[in-house]
Amino acid sequence: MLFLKTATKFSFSVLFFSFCFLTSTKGQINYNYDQLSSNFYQVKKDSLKASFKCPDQFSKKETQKKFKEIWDGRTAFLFESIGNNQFLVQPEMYKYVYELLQEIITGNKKFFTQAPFLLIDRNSSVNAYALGNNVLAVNIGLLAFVETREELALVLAHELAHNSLRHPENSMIEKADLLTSEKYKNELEGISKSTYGKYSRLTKILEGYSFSRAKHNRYHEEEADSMAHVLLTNSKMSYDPKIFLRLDSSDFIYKKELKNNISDYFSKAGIQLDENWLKKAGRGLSTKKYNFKDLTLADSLKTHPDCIDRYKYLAAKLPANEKPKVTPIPASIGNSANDCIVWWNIINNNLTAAMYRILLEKDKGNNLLFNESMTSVILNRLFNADKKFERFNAVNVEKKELISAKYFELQTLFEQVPREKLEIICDAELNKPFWQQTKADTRYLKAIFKNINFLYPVSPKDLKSLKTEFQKSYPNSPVRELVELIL
Amino acid sequence: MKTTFTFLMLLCMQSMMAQSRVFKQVAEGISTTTKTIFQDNAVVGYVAFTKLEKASKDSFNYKLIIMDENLNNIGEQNLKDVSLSLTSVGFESDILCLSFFSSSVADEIFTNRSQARSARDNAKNTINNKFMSLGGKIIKTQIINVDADMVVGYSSFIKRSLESSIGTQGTVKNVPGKGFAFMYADNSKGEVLFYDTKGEVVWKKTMTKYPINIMLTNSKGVYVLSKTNKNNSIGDYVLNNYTITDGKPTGETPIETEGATLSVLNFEINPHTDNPYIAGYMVANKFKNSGYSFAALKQGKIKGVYSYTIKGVSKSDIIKNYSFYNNLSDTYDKKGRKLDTKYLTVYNNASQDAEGNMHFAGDYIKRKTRIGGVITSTIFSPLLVPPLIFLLKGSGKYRSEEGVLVKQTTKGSLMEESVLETKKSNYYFSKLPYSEVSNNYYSIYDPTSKSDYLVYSDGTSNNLYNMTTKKAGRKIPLKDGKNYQTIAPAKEGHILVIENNYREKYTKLSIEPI
Repeated sequence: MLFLKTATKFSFSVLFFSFCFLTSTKGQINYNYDQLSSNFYQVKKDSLKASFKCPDQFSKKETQKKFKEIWDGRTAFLFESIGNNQFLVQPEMYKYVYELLQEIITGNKKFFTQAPFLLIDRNSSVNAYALGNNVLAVNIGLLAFVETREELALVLAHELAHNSLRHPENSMIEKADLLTSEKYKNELEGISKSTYGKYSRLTKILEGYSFSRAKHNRYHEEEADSMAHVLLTNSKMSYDPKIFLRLDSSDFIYKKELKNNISDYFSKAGIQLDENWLKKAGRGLSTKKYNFKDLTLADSLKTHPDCIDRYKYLAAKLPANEKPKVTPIPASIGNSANDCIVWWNIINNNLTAAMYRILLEKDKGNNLLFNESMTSVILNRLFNADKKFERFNAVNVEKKELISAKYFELQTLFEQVPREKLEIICDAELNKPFWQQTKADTRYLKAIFKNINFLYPVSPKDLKSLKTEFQKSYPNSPVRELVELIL
Repeated sequence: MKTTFTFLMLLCMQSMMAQSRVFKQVAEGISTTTKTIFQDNAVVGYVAFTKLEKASKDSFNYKLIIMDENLNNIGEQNLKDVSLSLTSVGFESDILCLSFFSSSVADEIFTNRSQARSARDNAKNTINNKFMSLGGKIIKTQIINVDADMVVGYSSFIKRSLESSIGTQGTVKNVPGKGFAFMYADNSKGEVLFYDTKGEVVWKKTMTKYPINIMLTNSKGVYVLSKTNKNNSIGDYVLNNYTITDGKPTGETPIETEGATLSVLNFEINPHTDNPYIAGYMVANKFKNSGYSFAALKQGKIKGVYSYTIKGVSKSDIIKNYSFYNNLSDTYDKKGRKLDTKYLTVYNNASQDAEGNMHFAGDYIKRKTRIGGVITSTIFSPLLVPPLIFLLKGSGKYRSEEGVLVKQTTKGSLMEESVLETKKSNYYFSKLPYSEVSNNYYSIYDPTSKSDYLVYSDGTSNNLYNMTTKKAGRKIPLKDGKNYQTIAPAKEGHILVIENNYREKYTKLSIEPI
C-alpha cells in the first residue's frame, strides 16, 4: 500500500508539472534537467525502495531466499536505471499516457484501485513493459511509433493486464521454484559429475527452461490480450488491433528507407560530401556475399512474437464491418518522442542512429532548427570521438542485413570521412548562422565544441570552469546532461 | 604483420557498440583462440575458435565464429572433431582455409607413467587443413601426418599430461586468384604445399629441414626464409623460393656477406610493390655471439645495415644492398657512432617504401663515463672491494636518448631521416644488455593514403608516425597499471587497439582509424 500511495503522489506531481508545461521550444528538446529520472525521483528514492520490499512467498527457506534474490535483482535493475537517467518525465508525453491509463482504470475499478506507477523509458525500441508491483513503463520508441490513440490504448491495456494478472510476479515465483527444485538440482549435479558433453547438457537444460518460459510467456500474452479487450470494452474505449501488423516489423526500425540520397541531405545543409566516402572501401568479409545462416529474425526471437495471430484474435472480437474510430496521436507527441530519441542517441554516442532519425524527420519536414543544431552536435561529437580513439564506438556499425541501404551509406560515411575533412566540416558547422536562433543553453554547446575540438590542448581546469559556468547559468537545461558528459 | 591473440577461457563476446568488442572470461575449462584472417597481407576478418567440451573419449565439440573486419559476427559453425588447435587462417576467392594441429594425446590426463608412455608411443599427430565456403560448409579436409615432439606438460604425483608440438606450426597464406600456399616443419621433414581453392593439392615440395621457417607469398611465388642454426641468435638464414604454377624450387640463397653476419629484422611484402624484402643490420663476425652486450656495441659490433629486395623467384631477381659504416665516413665513425653526437644506433625495425628505399627505426644510445665511480674507485684503490665493484659495473653507463629513423637509399647511402620523440630511459651500467633500453617499433601501411606508418611505444604511449609525410601522427596513451593497451594491424587504414584489463578479466578490442 505504501508503494501505491507513493505512486499516486508522483502521479499528481507529474500532472501538476504538466499544467505548467510550456509549449515545445523551437530547436530544443522540451523537458528540464530536473525531469530526468535520477533527479525527479531523488527525493522519494528511499520511500520508493521501501515499497519494493520482497513479500514472503515460500515457506521453504531456500526457495524464499532464491525468490528474494530474483526480486531484489529486479528492484536493483529498476533503481539503477532510474539512477542512469533511463527514464524521464517529459510533461506532455507523460500527461498523455497517464490520462489514457486513467481512462482505462476509471472504467475498470473492480480490477484497479490505483493508477500504476508510470515510467517513460528513453529506449528507442518499440515497446512497453509491466514490471510488476504496479509499475508500468512505456518506451519513447513506442510513442514515436504509434499513430493513433487507439493503438496506444491497446498497448497500455495489455500492459495493465499483465500487472493485474500478476504475470511479472508469477514469473519470478516460477523461476525461484524451478531453480530450487530437486529435479533441477539433480540435473545440474549429473552434469558436474559427467565426463563428456557437459556444455551440451547444460545448454539443453537451459533451452528446455527457456522453451517452457516461452510457452508460458505466450500464454501470458494471450491472457493479457484477452483481458485488454475486456478492459477497453469496460471503459467504452475503442482500440485498433492493426498495431500488431505494424509491430511485426518494428525490430528493424532502421530498415526504413529515406526519400533522398544521403549526399543530398548534407548538401542542402551546406555540407559537400565526396561520394567515395559513402562507398565501402576495403575488401573485408563484410563486403562479401556470405551466407552462414539466415539472418532474418525468427518470430520467436522478435520483441513482439505472434503478431499476426494476435491481430486476428483481437480483430475477431470487434464488431464485424465496423472500422474502429481512430484519433491521431498529437503531432507534438510524436515529434517530441523523436527528438528525445535523437538526443538519447547523442548522449549514448550512437551517432549514426541519431543522424538517421534526423534524416527521416527531414523527409517529413519536421522541426528544422532542432535538426540543424543536432546535425552540428552529431558531427562535432563524431569528431571529438575520433580524437579520443572512440570514433567507431560512436559510429556503431550495424550488419548490412539489419539496416537499409541508405543507413549503410550513412554509417560508411561516418566511418570513412577523413579526419581532416571532418574537422573542416565541423568548424564550418559551428559558424553557421542558425545558432543565433537557438536558445542560449543550446548555443553554449557551440562554445564547448569549439574548445574541445579546435582549441586544443584545453586544460582540465578550463573544461571544469566551462562546465561550472554552464551549470550556474542554466541549472535546469536539458542540455546540461550532455555538457556534464563531455566535459 | 601477422598478429594473433589467444584468449584463454574466453567465452562470450559481448557487443559493446560498434567496432568495439569485449571478450569476457565467464567460465573456466573453455578455451578460445582468435586469429586474424589476412588476404594479400590485408586484414579481412577474424576467426574465434572455441573448444567447448569433450564430447566422447576421442572427440570434442567446437564453435567456430567468423567475424568480419569490423568484428561483427557474420557466421557461426558448430564442429565435432578430434582434438584441434587452430594455428593459421587464409582467405582466397571466398574460401577460408583453416589449419589445425591435432594430437591424440592433447587434453588427456594420465594417471601413471606407463600409461603416458604408451599413449606417447601410439600417438597420432596430424595437421588438418579445412577449406570452408562463406556458406559455412566444409568443402574439403586435407590431413597430413606429422612427426611431433611429445613432452610431459603437467605432472603431479597422480596426474600427468603430454604436450605435442612441431618445429614450425602450419602456416597458410593466400596466393591471389590461385589458392593457398601451406608450409610446416616437423621432427623429420619440412614441406611446402599448394592447394587450389577447392582444397585439392596442386603441388607438394619437400624443403630442407631447418629449425625455424617463415613463409610469404605473392602473385609470383612462395618464399620461405629459414634459420639454419637456432642456437645462433644472429644470422644463419637462407631463402628458398618456389614458383606458383608447379612449385619448382629456384635454389637456396644464403643471407650473408663477407666479413659480417646478417641479422634479420623484417621479412615482409612491400605493400607498394608486392615484392618481398629482407632487411636488418650487419654484425662483425667476431661479435656474432655477443648477444646484447653494450661493450660489444661500443666496440663496433654493428657494421651497418643491409636489405634484399626480391623482385621474382629466381636468384637473379634478388637485389642486394649493403651500407657499411666504413664507407660512410662523413656521417659515422668506424665503430658506428654518429660523428656529431657520438650516439650509437640500435636498430629495431625496417620497412621499404614505394621507391625501394629502406627505413630503419631504432634508438640512439648515449654513453657517459661514470665519473663518480671512477673517482670512488681511485680514492679507494688501496682497498679491494670498491675497485672490484667498479670492474664489475664497468666505467660507463648508457641510456636510450631518442628514437631515430634512418633511410637507406637504393644506392646504399645512409642518412638520419627523423629523430623521434621518445621518453629517455634511465642510465644503465654498461655491463647490462642494451635490449633493456630499446623501444618497440613496427610499421603498418594505410592503402587509403598510400602511406607507411611507424608505430612505436615509449613507455607512456603508442605513437604513430607517418613515414611518407614525415609527420608525427596520433598518440594512443597506455592506460594505467590495470589496463594495458597494445596496437595491432586492423582492416585497411585502421589499427586494432587491444585493451587488456587483468583485474576485471576482459579484453576490449576497438578498431580505430590511423
